[in-house]
Amino acid sequence: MLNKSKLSYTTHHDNGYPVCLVGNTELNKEVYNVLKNQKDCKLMSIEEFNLMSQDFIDSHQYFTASGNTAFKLEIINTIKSKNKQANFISLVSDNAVVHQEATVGKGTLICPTAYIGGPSELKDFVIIQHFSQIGHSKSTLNDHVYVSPMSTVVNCNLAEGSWIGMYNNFAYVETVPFQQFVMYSRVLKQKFIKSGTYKHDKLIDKRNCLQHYIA
Amino acid sequence: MFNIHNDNLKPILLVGKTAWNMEVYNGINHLRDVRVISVEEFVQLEDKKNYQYFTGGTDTSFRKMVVEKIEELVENANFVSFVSASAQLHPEFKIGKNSLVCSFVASAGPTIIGDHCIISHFCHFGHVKSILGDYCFIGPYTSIVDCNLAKGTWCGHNCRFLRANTKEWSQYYMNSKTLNKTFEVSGTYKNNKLLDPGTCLTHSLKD
Repeated sequence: MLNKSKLSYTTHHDNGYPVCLVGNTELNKEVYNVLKNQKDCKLMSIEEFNLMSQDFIDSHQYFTASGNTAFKLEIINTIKSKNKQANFISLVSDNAVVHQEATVGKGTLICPTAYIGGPSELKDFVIIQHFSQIGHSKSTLNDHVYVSPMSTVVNCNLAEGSWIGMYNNFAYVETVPFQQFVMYSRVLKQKFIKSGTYKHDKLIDKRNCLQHYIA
Repeated sequence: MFNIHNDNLKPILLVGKTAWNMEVYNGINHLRDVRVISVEEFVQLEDKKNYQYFTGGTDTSFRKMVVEKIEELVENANFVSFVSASAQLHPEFKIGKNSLVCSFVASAGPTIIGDHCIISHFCHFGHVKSILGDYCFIGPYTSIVDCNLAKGTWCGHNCRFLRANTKEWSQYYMNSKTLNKTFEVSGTYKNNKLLDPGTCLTHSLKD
């Protein structure tokens, strides 16, 4: 160890089974390198997972994280197709600051140095990246919302699959499913009605984050 | 969680229904007797002397009005300051009254923060001493190195200030970058460029 700090996660929705991280994504590699010191866990590609025995599949719980929402959905659907009862564990970094009344659903990741300042509701498969803040008061982040590093979200209702790029600043915003925002977007007091790719509050491409990966 | 400074242990009133006051409330309501009340409710309050006070807000003119109202109606009013337990601060870091230092703020030098200041999340005071006068507001992700920020300086998101000296109540748009600059005129700036003679008291950038 180089100093006294130590990375670790608090697990939620944990059924005690070994954890299988599916998908060779950068986020999964990051999680694996920390979680392997806490729990029995494996990291494998989706192709390797497809070759595993039903016995293996039934005796693990799962986690997957990726900035590419379409790829993450493909992995989740693959896991669920092989194990309808598959459990997805959530991971909250012990180096994040999280309000005591905030909640997380299944398969969610809160990275080190993220900040959640109010009783926000994070549903399933949400990802909150490093140095991001869900600030001040309650926000609701629905399934598959992705918040990139150094972004601020205040008092928002982010619809399923909303994708927030780096250095975004959102206050009092309601999005629509799978809407995405390029980096440095600033959006205040907006209720969107149409999905697609946005710079600030301006639609710049009709494709959403399932159709066009902008990371 | 916050460490509380200048605390006389009386119940705390957070005056003004602002997002910042709500955040402070959410951070301490499990530890202390604390309430958020509007300015109108504060004015009507009968036992004002039985409380100590805090007010936070992005809008400097509103924050200043609330402070002045409290000082007008409560003789020798006590103002507490809050410092997040996750902030990493130099041992000689100093803070005045009614100021807030948020989570993940880092100060590598002996920074001096005045009264009624807000230092937002993930801000960074680098290398050496910087001095911030009263009523400064520093937006999230902003980096300040070797600066003297005059009373009421307002910095937006993700600014970078290196060896800058500002004028009272001047304000800077988000993503502004200012190096080796002494400003002679107050107003609204993007980087070093004066865009508008209005200051943060007359023309809030928060919206």
